[in-house]
Amino acid sequence: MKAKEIDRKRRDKANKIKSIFLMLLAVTVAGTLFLYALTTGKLGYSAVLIVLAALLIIFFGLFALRRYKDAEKGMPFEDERSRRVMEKAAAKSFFVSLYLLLAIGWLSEGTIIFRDVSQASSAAIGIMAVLFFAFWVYYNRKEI
Amino acid sequence: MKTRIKELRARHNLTQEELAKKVGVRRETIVFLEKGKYNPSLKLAHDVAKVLKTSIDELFIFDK
Repeated sequence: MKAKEIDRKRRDKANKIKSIFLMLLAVTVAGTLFLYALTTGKLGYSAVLIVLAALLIIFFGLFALRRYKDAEKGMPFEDERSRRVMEKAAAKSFFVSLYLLLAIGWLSEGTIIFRDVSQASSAAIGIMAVLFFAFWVYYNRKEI
Repeated sequence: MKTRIKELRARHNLTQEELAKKVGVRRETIVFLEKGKYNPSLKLAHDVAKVLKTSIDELFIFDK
């Protein structure tokens, strides 16, 4: 049993490092693109949103794959802790999004120019999705 | 909150994965429970205690 535990701990550590690295990479890429789009205006917001969506899909795919592998081993796809994490992340991202949407509303008066309403609403939905993901990662590692 | 799950699990010669399967949760939940970083539902606490043949009182130690 001890050898199994040591092996599992090693795998856990490697997975942790991998996910932190991927997260940092995603945040750096998304942040750089967003700042580039904001400052130069060369890159359209839709391009930034597509990249963000692609990153979220990749993360969701990796997450689903891991859960599917666990389910094959006989563990449930979700349990009371994962549901609690999901609920907390959803509640917090909704709450923070309200203020962010308010801020976008103010910024759209001059600082950020949106092409039309659909672009502004897609940006807002994109922000909500990113926030949900960030809070999910946060609560998944925090004591709840 | 501190728990004796790890100690009792080892005594029963169970891995985290085996315990997780027996109580119907994901392995991560057992990891967080052992670290005292998850406040479980009464049902889960009862199920873990039952598998480890102990009581909830013996399993969880609450700091005042």
